[in-house]
Amino acid sequence: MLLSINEKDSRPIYLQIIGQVKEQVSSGSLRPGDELPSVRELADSLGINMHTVRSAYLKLRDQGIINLRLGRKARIARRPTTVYTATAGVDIRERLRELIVDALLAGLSPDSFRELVNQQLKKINEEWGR
Amino acid sequence: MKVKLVHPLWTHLPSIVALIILVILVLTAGPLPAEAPVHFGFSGEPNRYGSPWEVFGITIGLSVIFILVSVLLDELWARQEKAKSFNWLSLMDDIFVPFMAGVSLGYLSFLKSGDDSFTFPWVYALPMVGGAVIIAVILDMLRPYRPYPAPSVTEESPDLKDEITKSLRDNASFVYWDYQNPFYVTLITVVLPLVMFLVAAITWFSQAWAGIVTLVVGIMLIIPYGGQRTLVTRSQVAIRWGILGIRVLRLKIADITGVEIHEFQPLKDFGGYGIRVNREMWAYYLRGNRGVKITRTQGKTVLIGSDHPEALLAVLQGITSLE
Repeated sequence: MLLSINEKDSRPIYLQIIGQVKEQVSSGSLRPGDELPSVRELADSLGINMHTVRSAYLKLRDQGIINLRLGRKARIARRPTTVYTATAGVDIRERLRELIVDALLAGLSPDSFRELVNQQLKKINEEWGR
Repeated sequence: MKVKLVHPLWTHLPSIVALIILVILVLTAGPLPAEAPVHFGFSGEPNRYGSPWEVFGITIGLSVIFILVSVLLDELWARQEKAKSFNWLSLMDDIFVPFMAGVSLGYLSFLKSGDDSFTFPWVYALPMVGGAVIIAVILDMLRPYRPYPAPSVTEESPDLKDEITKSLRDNASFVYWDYQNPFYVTLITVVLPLVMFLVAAITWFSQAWAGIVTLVVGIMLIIPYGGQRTLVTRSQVAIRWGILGIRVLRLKIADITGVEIHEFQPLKDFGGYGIRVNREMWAYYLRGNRGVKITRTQGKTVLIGSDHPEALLAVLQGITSLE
Protein backbone atom coordinates (compact mmCIF):
# COMPACT_ATOMS: atom_id res chain seq x y z
CA MET A 1 0.00 0.00 0.00
CA LEU A 2 1.33 3.37 -0.98
CA LEU A 3 0.25 6.53 0.81
CA SER A 4 1.59 9.97 0.06
CA ILE A 5 0.99 13.30 1.70
CA ASN A 6 1.31 16.29 -0.57
CA GLU A 7 1.62 19.73 0.94
CA LYS A 8 0.52 21.32 -2.34
CA ASP A 9 -2.78 19.47 -2.06
CA SER A 10 -5.42 21.82 -0.63
CA ARG A 11 -7.18 19.00 1.23
CA PRO A 12 -6.29 18.37 4.88
CA ILE A 13 -3.95 15.45 5.48
CA TYR A 14 -6.56 13.10 6.95
CA LEU A 15 -8.73 13.57 3.86
CA GLN A 16 -5.76 12.75 1.64
CA ILE A 17 -5.26 9.50 3.54
CA ILE A 18 -8.96 8.64 3.35
CA GLY A 19 -9.05 9.39 -0.37
CA GLN A 20 -6.06 7.21 -1.18
CA VAL A 21 -7.27 4.26 0.88
CA LYS A 22 -10.67 4.47 -0.79
CA GLU A 23 -9.12 4.62 -4.25
CA GLN A 24 -6.97 1.59 -3.60
CA VAL A 25 -9.97 -0.31 -2.26
CA SER A 26 -12.06 0.58 -5.31
CA SER A 27 -9.28 -0.30 -7.73
CA GLY A 28 -8.78 -3.64 -5.99
CA SER A 29 -5.16 -3.14 -4.98
CA LEU A 30 -6.34 -3.31 -1.37
CA ARG A 31 -8.53 -6.36 -0.78
CA PRO A 32 -10.83 -7.26 2.09
CA GLY A 33 -8.79 -8.64 4.98
CA ASP A 34 -5.64 -6.73 4.02
CA GLU A 35 -3.92 -5.14 6.98
CA LEU A 36 -3.28 -1.44 7.35
CA PRO A 37 -0.26 -0.04 9.17
CA SER A 38 -0.73 0.80 12.82
CA VAL A 39 -1.50 4.43 13.64
CA ARG A 40 1.90 4.91 15.23
CA GLU A 41 3.90 3.37 12.40
CA LEU A 42 2.07 5.33 9.74
CA ALA A 43 2.37 8.61 11.64
CA ASP A 44 6.09 7.98 12.25
CA SER A 45 6.90 7.23 8.65
CA LEU A 46 4.89 10.09 7.20
CA GLY A 47 6.11 12.52 9.84
CA ILE A 48 2.59 13.52 10.81
CA ASN A 49 0.60 13.58 14.02
CA MET A 50 -0.89 10.35 15.35
CA HIS A 51 -4.24 12.10 15.84
CA THR A 52 -4.39 12.89 12.13
CA VAL A 53 -3.95 9.23 11.23
CA ARG A 54 -6.38 8.16 13.92
CA SER A 55 -9.09 10.51 12.72
CA ALA A 56 -8.60 9.25 9.15
CA TYR A 57 -8.96 5.66 10.37
CA LEU A 58 -12.03 6.50 12.46
CA LYS A 59 -13.68 8.15 9.45
CA LEU A 60 -12.85 5.14 7.30
CA ARG A 61 -14.36 2.89 9.95
CA ASP A 62 -17.53 4.99 10.12
CA GLN A 63 -17.88 4.68 6.37
CA GLY A 64 -17.51 0.90 6.61
CA ILE A 65 -14.28 0.81 4.60
CA ILE A 66 -12.12 -0.68 7.35
CA ASN A 67 -12.58 -2.71 10.51
CA LEU A 68 -11.02 -1.10 13.53
CA ARG A 69 -11.25 -2.67 16.93
CA LEU A 70 -9.29 -1.98 20.07
CA GLY A 71 -6.13 -4.02 20.21
CA ARG A 72 -6.61 -5.48 16.74
CA LYS A 73 -4.99 -4.61 13.45
CA ALA A 74 -6.91 -2.28 11.18
CA ARG A 75 -8.09 -4.30 8.22
CA ILE A 76 -9.96 -3.61 5.02
CA ALA A 77 -13.59 -4.56 5.64
CA ARG A 78 -15.49 -6.99 3.52
CA ARG A 79 -17.39 -4.78 1.15
CA PRO A 80 -21.14 -4.81 1.60
CA THR A 81 -22.88 -5.58 -1.66
CA THR A 82 -22.95 -2.13 -3.12
CA VAL A 83 -26.47 -0.88 -2.93
CA TYR A 84 -27.15 2.74 -3.61
CA THR A 85 -29.04 3.60 -0.46
CA ALA A 86 -31.12 6.72 0.05
CA THR A 87 -28.80 8.15 2.73
CA ALA A 88 -25.71 7.54 0.62
CA GLY A 89 -27.56 9.26 -2.23
CA VAL A 90 -28.26 12.34 -0.14
CA ASP A 91 -24.65 12.45 1.06
CA ILE A 92 -23.22 12.24 -2.43
CA ARG A 93 -25.75 14.77 -3.79
CA GLU A 94 -24.72 17.27 -1.14
CA ARG A 95 -21.02 16.80 -1.79
CA LEU A 96 -21.59 17.13 -5.51
CA ARG A 97 -23.49 20.35 -4.99
CA GLU A 98 -20.64 21.74 -2.95
CA LEU A 99 -18.21 20.77 -5.71
CA ILE A 100 -20.37 22.36 -8.42
CA VAL A 101 -20.57 25.58 -6.44
CA ASP A 102 -16.77 25.56 -6.09
CA ALA A 103 -16.39 24.96 -9.81
CA LEU A 104 -18.81 27.74 -10.75
CA LEU A 105 -17.08 30.09 -8.34
CA ALA A 106 -13.78 29.24 -9.98
CA GLY A 107 -15.30 30.39 -13.26
CA LEU A 108 -16.03 27.02 -14.88
CA SER A 109 -18.99 26.94 -17.23
CA PRO A 110 -21.64 24.22 -16.68
CA ASP A 111 -20.66 22.61 -19.98
CA SER A 112 -16.98 22.40 -19.19
CA PHE A 113 -17.88 21.03 -15.75
CA ARG A 114 -19.88 18.25 -17.45
CA GLU A 115 -16.97 17.59 -19.76
CA LEU A 116 -14.62 17.42 -16.76
CA VAL A 117 -16.87 14.88 -14.97
CA ASN A 118 -17.01 12.66 -18.07
CA GLN A 119 -13.25 12.85 -18.51
CA GLN A 120 -12.60 11.83 -14.92
CA LEU A 121 -15.10 8.96 -15.08
CA LYS A 122 -13.41 7.67 -18.21
CA LYS A 123 -9.96 8.01 -16.68
CA ILE A 124 -10.97 6.15 -13.53
CA ASN A 125 -12.52 3.39 -15.61
CA GLU A 126 -9.32 3.03 -17.58
CA GLU A 127 -7.09 3.10 -14.53
CA TRP A 128 -9.06 0.43 -12.71
CA GLY A 129 -9.34 -1.61 -15.85
CA ARG A 130 -13.10 -1.94 -15.86
CA MET B 1 -10.02 -29.77 2.09
CA LYS B 2 -7.77 -32.66 1.17
CA VAL B 3 -4.08 -31.99 1.48
CA LYS B 4 -1.77 -34.13 -0.57
CA LEU B 5 1.61 -34.63 1.01
CA VAL B 6 4.58 -34.04 -1.23
CA HIS B 7 6.90 -35.68 1.30
CA PRO B 8 5.54 -39.23 1.63
CA LEU B 9 4.46 -40.34 5.09
CA TRP B 10 6.37 -43.60 4.86
CA THR B 11 9.66 -41.75 5.37
CA HIS B 12 8.58 -41.48 9.00
CA LEU B 13 8.20 -45.24 9.42
CA PRO B 14 11.30 -45.78 11.62
CA SER B 15 10.06 -43.37 14.28
CA ILE B 16 6.45 -44.55 14.01
CA VAL B 17 7.54 -48.19 14.38
CA ALA B 18 9.74 -47.30 17.38
CA LEU B 19 6.77 -45.55 18.98
CA ILE B 20 4.47 -48.52 18.32
CA ILE B 21 7.04 -50.94 19.79
CA LEU B 22 7.27 -48.77 22.90
CA VAL B 23 3.51 -48.53 23.31
CA ILE B 24 3.00 -52.27 22.86
CA LEU B 25 5.79 -53.22 25.27
CA VAL B 26 4.56 -50.79 27.93
CA LEU B 27 0.97 -51.96 27.62
CA THR B 28 1.91 -55.63 27.76
CA ALA B 29 4.45 -55.21 30.57
CA GLY B 30 1.96 -56.28 33.19
CA PRO B 31 1.20 -54.38 36.38
CA LEU B 32 3.53 -51.46 37.07
CA PRO B 33 4.31 -50.32 40.61
CA ALA B 34 2.04 -47.50 41.78
CA GLU B 35 5.07 -45.56 42.97
CA ALA B 36 8.55 -45.80 41.54
CA PRO B 37 11.56 -43.54 41.13
CA VAL B 38 10.88 -41.22 38.19
CA HIS B 39 13.85 -38.87 38.33
CA PHE B 40 17.51 -39.60 38.91
CA GLY B 41 20.67 -37.74 39.83
CA PHE B 42 23.90 -37.91 37.84
CA SER B 43 25.12 -41.09 39.51
CA GLY B 44 21.78 -42.80 38.94
CA GLU B 45 20.38 -42.45 42.44
CA PRO B 46 16.65 -41.71 42.47
CA ASN B 47 15.73 -38.23 43.73
CA ARG B 48 12.01 -38.10 42.98
CA TYR B 49 9.24 -40.66 43.15
CA GLY B 50 5.94 -40.86 41.34
CA SER B 51 3.82 -42.98 39.08
CA PRO B 52 5.81 -44.63 36.27
CA TRP B 53 2.92 -43.72 33.99
CA GLU B 54 4.15 -40.14 34.29
CA VAL B 55 7.40 -41.18 32.58
CA PHE B 56 5.70 -43.17 29.84
CA GLY B 57 3.05 -40.51 29.33
CA ILE B 58 5.67 -37.81 28.80
CA THR B 59 7.87 -39.90 26.47
CA ILE B 60 4.96 -41.14 24.35
CA GLY B 61 3.33 -37.68 24.23
CA LEU B 62 6.61 -35.98 23.25
CA SER B 63 7.25 -38.63 20.61
CA VAL B 64 3.85 -38.07 19.02
CA ILE B 65 4.42 -34.28 18.99
CA PHE B 66 7.89 -34.81 17.51
CA ILE B 67 6.56 -37.00 14.70
CA LEU B 68 3.82 -34.47 13.89
CA VAL B 69 6.28 -31.54 13.85
CA SER B 70 8.63 -33.59 11.71
CA VAL B 71 5.87 -34.42 9.19
CA LEU B 72 5.14 -30.69 8.97
CA LEU B 73 8.80 -29.64 8.56
CA ASP B 74 9.52 -32.34 5.97
CA GLU B 75 6.48 -31.28 3.99
CA LEU B 76 7.76 -27.70 4.03
CA TRP B 77 11.13 -28.95 2.83
CA ALA B 78 9.68 -31.07 0.02
CA ARG B 79 7.49 -28.26 -1.25
CA GLN B 80 10.55 -26.06 -1.65
CA GLU B 81 12.64 -28.61 -3.49
CA LYS B 82 13.63 -27.71 -7.03
CA ALA B 83 15.23 -31.12 -7.48
CA LYS B 84 15.66 -34.16 -5.27
CA SER B 85 18.00 -33.38 -2.40
CA PHE B 86 18.74 -35.34 0.73
CA ASN B 87 16.54 -34.08 3.54
CA TRP B 88 18.61 -34.06 6.74
CA LEU B 89 15.61 -32.75 8.63
CA SER B 90 13.82 -36.03 8.02
CA LEU B 91 16.27 -37.73 10.38
CA MET B 92 15.12 -35.57 13.28
CA ASP B 93 12.21 -37.69 14.45
CA ASP B 94 14.02 -40.89 13.50
CA ILE B 95 16.74 -39.98 16.01
CA PHE B 96 14.61 -38.55 18.77
CA VAL B 97 11.73 -41.02 18.92
CA PRO B 98 13.82 -44.23 18.89
CA PHE B 99 16.07 -42.60 21.51
CA MET B 100 13.10 -41.88 23.76
CA ALA B 101 11.74 -45.35 23.10
CA GLY B 102 15.11 -46.93 23.93
CA VAL B 103 15.45 -44.98 27.17
CA SER B 104 11.88 -45.85 28.12
CA LEU B 105 12.48 -49.53 27.46
CA GLY B 106 15.60 -49.36 29.62
CA TYR B 107 13.49 -47.72 32.31
CA LEU B 108 10.87 -50.47 31.95
CA SER B 109 13.46 -53.18 32.51
CA PHE B 110 14.81 -51.19 35.46
CA LEU B 111 11.31 -51.19 37.00
CA LYS B 112 11.07 -54.95 36.47
CA SER B 113 14.51 -55.66 37.92
CA GLY B 114 13.91 -53.81 41.17
CA ASP B 115 17.45 -52.36 41.24
CA ASP B 116 18.23 -49.37 43.41
CA SER B 117 20.11 -47.22 40.95
CA PHE B 118 19.45 -46.54 37.30
CA THR B 119 22.24 -46.72 34.75
CA PHE B 120 21.54 -44.83 31.59
CA PRO B 121 20.27 -47.45 29.13
CA TRP B 122 22.64 -46.86 26.22
CA VAL B 123 22.35 -50.58 25.43
CA TYR B 124 18.72 -49.99 24.50
CA ALA B 125 18.91 -46.49 23.07
CA LEU B 126 21.97 -46.75 20.79
CA PRO B 127 20.94 -49.80 18.74
CA MET B 128 17.42 -48.41 18.31
CA VAL B 129 18.70 -45.01 17.15
CA GLY B 130 21.34 -46.60 14.93
CA GLY B 131 18.90 -48.97 13.27
CA ALA B 132 16.26 -46.29 12.80
CA VAL B 133 18.74 -43.80 11.30
CA ILE B 134 20.08 -46.35 8.79
CA ILE B 135 16.53 -47.20 7.65
CA ALA B 136 15.58 -43.51 7.60
CA VAL B 137 18.58 -42.63 5.41
CA ILE B 138 17.63 -45.39 2.96
CA LEU B 139 13.98 -44.29 2.97
CA ASP B 140 14.85 -40.68 2.29
CA MET B 141 17.12 -41.75 -0.56
CA LEU B 142 14.23 -43.80 -1.98
CA ARG B 143 11.86 -40.87 -1.61
CA PRO B 144 10.66 -39.73 -5.03
CA TYR B 145 10.83 -36.11 -6.06
CA ARG B 146 7.42 -34.63 -6.64
CA PRO B 147 7.41 -31.09 -7.98
CA TYR B 148 5.08 -28.86 -6.01
CA PRO B 149 3.26 -26.38 -8.23
CA ALA B 150 4.47 -22.89 -7.42
CA PRO B 151 1.69 -20.45 -6.53
CA SER B 152 0.79 -18.34 -9.51
CA VAL B 153 2.44 -14.96 -9.53
CA THR B 154 -0.05 -12.15 -9.67
CA GLU B 155 0.54 -9.23 -11.95
CA GLU B 156 1.37 -6.20 -9.85
CA SER B 157 0.49 -2.64 -10.64
CA PRO B 158 3.33 -1.19 -12.70
CA ASP B 159 2.19 2.37 -11.98
CA LEU B 160 3.78 2.26 -8.53
CA LYS B 161 7.08 3.41 -9.91
CA ASP B 162 5.39 6.34 -11.66
CA GLU B 163 3.54 7.29 -8.51
CA ILE B 164 6.77 7.27 -6.53
CA THR B 165 8.50 9.42 -9.12
CA LYS B 166 5.57 11.83 -9.02
CA SER B 167 5.66 12.00 -5.21
CA LEU B 168 9.40 12.63 -5.31
CA ARG B 169 8.91 15.41 -7.85
CA ASP B 170 6.11 17.00 -5.82
CA ASN B 171 8.33 16.82 -2.76
CA ALA B 172 5.54 14.93 -1.03
CA SER B 173 6.19 12.61 1.89
CA PHE B 174 5.11 9.07 1.26
CA VAL B 175 5.27 5.60 2.71
CA TYR B 176 5.02 2.24 1.02
CA TRP B 177 3.87 -0.46 3.41
CA ASP B 178 4.10 -4.18 2.98
CA TYR B 179 3.55 -6.89 5.54
CA GLN B 180 3.79 -10.57 6.18
CA ASN B 181 1.64 -11.84 8.99
CA PRO B 182 0.88 -15.50 8.43
CA PHE B 183 -1.63 -17.36 10.55
CA TYR B 184 1.00 -19.57 12.15
CA VAL B 185 2.59 -16.52 13.77
CA THR B 186 -0.71 -15.60 15.40
CA LEU B 187 -1.15 -19.20 16.52
CA ILE B 188 2.33 -19.39 18.06
CA THR B 189 2.17 -15.97 19.69
CA VAL B 190 -1.28 -16.48 21.21
CA VAL B 191 -1.66 -20.18 21.98
CA LEU B 192 1.87 -20.99 23.18
CA PRO B 193 2.03 -18.09 25.69
CA LEU B 194 -1.36 -19.13 27.08
CA VAL B 195 -0.05 -22.67 27.59
CA MET B 196 3.13 -21.25 29.14
CA PHE B 197 1.16 -19.04 31.55
CA LEU B 198 -0.95 -22.03 32.57
CA VAL B 199 2.19 -24.10 33.19
CA ALA B 200 3.73 -21.17 35.08
CA ALA B 201 0.68 -20.92 37.31
CA ILE B 202 0.81 -24.63 38.06
CA THR B 203 4.56 -24.84 38.72
CA TRP B 204 4.58 -21.57 40.67
CA PHE B 205 3.73 -23.22 43.98
CA SER B 206 6.05 -26.19 43.71
CA GLN B 207 9.06 -24.56 42.04
CA ALA B 208 8.91 -20.79 41.94
CA TRP B 209 11.99 -20.35 39.72
CA ALA B 210 10.60 -22.72 37.08
CA GLY B 211 7.36 -20.73 37.18
CA ILE B 212 9.25 -17.47 36.62
CA VAL B 213 11.26 -18.94 33.72
CA THR B 214 8.08 -20.21 32.02
CA LEU B 215 6.39 -16.86 32.59
CA VAL B 216 9.29 -14.96 31.02
CA VAL B 217 9.47 -17.35 28.05
CA GLY B 218 5.70 -16.99 27.62
CA ILE B 219 5.95 -13.21 27.57
CA MET B 220 8.82 -13.35 25.07
CA LEU B 221 6.76 -15.57 22.79
CA ILE B 222 4.13 -12.83 22.48
CA ILE B 223 6.64 -10.37 21.02
CA PRO B 224 6.45 -11.54 17.36
CA TYR B 225 2.65 -11.09 17.35
CA GLY B 226 1.73 -8.98 14.35
CA GLY B 227 4.41 -10.31 12.04
CA GLN B 228 6.77 -8.33 9.84
CA ARG B 229 6.19 -4.92 8.32
CA THR B 230 8.32 -3.30 5.67
CA LEU B 231 8.08 0.49 5.48
CA VAL B 232 9.72 2.34 2.63
CA THR B 233 9.92 6.11 2.85
CA ARG B 234 11.82 8.76 0.95
CA SER B 235 14.93 8.35 3.08
CA GLN B 236 14.93 4.79 4.34
CA VAL B 237 13.73 1.21 4.28
CA ALA B 238 12.71 -0.06 7.69
CA ILE B 239 11.54 -3.45 8.86
CA ARG B 240 9.50 -3.59 12.03
CA TRP B 241 8.61 -6.69 13.93
CA GLY B 242 6.01 -7.87 16.31
CA ILE B 243 3.64 -6.35 18.77
CA LEU B 244 6.13 -3.70 19.88
CA GLY B 245 7.07 -2.69 16.35
CA ILE B 246 10.74 -3.24 17.08
CA ARG B 247 12.82 -1.91 14.22
CA VAL B 248 15.02 -4.81 13.19
CA LEU B 249 16.45 -3.18 10.09
CA ARG B 250 17.06 0.31 8.83
CA LEU B 251 18.62 0.94 5.45
CA LYS B 252 19.34 4.38 4.11
CA ILE B 253 18.08 4.79 0.55
CA ALA B 254 21.35 6.55 -0.30
CA ASP B 255 23.32 3.39 0.60
CA ILE B 256 21.43 1.13 -1.79
CA THR B 257 23.42 0.09 -4.85
CA GLY B 258 21.11 -2.52 -6.38
CA VAL B 259 17.67 -4.09 -6.10
CA GLU B 260 16.33 -7.25 -7.71
CA ILE B 261 13.74 -9.97 -7.23
CA HIS B 262 15.22 -12.99 -5.51
CA GLU B 263 13.77 -16.47 -5.22
CA PHE B 264 14.99 -18.64 -2.40
CA GLN B 265 14.36 -21.87 -0.52
CA PRO B 266 13.67 -20.96 3.11
CA LEU B 267 14.76 -24.24 4.68
CA LYS B 268 17.67 -24.99 2.40
CA ASP B 269 19.13 -21.49 2.07
CA PHE B 270 18.43 -20.15 5.54
CA GLY B 271 17.22 -23.09 7.61
CA GLY B 272 13.85 -21.71 8.58
CA TYR B 273 11.73 -18.61 8.82
CA GLY B 274 12.21 -15.32 10.63
CA ILE B 275 15.34 -13.22 10.70
CA ARG B 276 18.03 -15.32 9.10
CA VAL B 277 21.59 -15.01 7.94
CA ASN B 278 23.80 -17.04 5.69
CA ARG B 279 27.19 -16.41 4.13
CA GLU B 280 25.79 -14.06 1.52
CA MET B 281 22.98 -12.08 3.11
CA TRP B 282 20.65 -11.25 5.92
CA ALA B 283 17.08 -12.35 5.26
CA TYR B 284 13.80 -11.20 6.79
CA TYR B 285 10.69 -13.22 5.96
CA LEU B 286 7.87 -15.16 7.53
CA ARG B 287 6.49 -17.00 4.54
CA GLY B 288 6.84 -17.58 0.84
CA ASN B 289 9.96 -18.03 -1.24
CA ARG B 290 10.26 -14.68 -2.97
CA GLY B 291 11.58 -11.32 -1.96
CA VAL B 292 13.67 -8.35 -2.95
CA LYS B 293 17.42 -8.53 -2.63
CA ILE B 294 19.11 -5.26 -1.79
CA THR B 295 22.82 -4.72 -2.20
CA ARG B 296 24.39 -1.72 -0.51
CA THR B 297 27.58 0.22 -0.26
CA GLN B 298 28.52 -1.16 3.13
CA GLY B 299 27.40 -4.20 5.02
CA LYS B 300 25.87 -7.45 3.95
CA THR B 301 23.26 -7.84 1.27
CA VAL B 302 19.71 -7.83 2.61
CA LEU B 303 16.79 -9.96 1.47
CA ILE B 304 13.29 -8.74 2.32
CA GLY B 305 10.63 -11.39 1.90
CA SER B 306 7.37 -10.17 0.46
CA ASP B 307 4.03 -11.45 -0.78
CA HIS B 308 4.20 -8.80 -3.52
CA PRO B 309 7.88 -8.57 -4.43
CA GLU B 310 7.12 -6.93 -7.81
CA ALA B 311 5.43 -4.00 -6.08
CA LEU B 312 8.21 -3.64 -3.53
CA LEU B 313 10.78 -3.78 -6.32
CA ALA B 314 8.93 -1.12 -8.33
CA VAL B 315 8.84 1.17 -5.29
CA LEU B 316 12.53 0.70 -4.53
CA GLN B 317 13.45 1.23 -8.18
CA GLY B 318 11.36 4.39 -8.19
CA ILE B 319 13.10 5.81 -5.14
CA THR B 320 16.63 4.83 -6.02
CA SER B 321 16.10 5.29 -9.78
CA LEU B 322 18.10 2.09 -10.19
CA GLU B 323 17.00 -0.40 -12.80
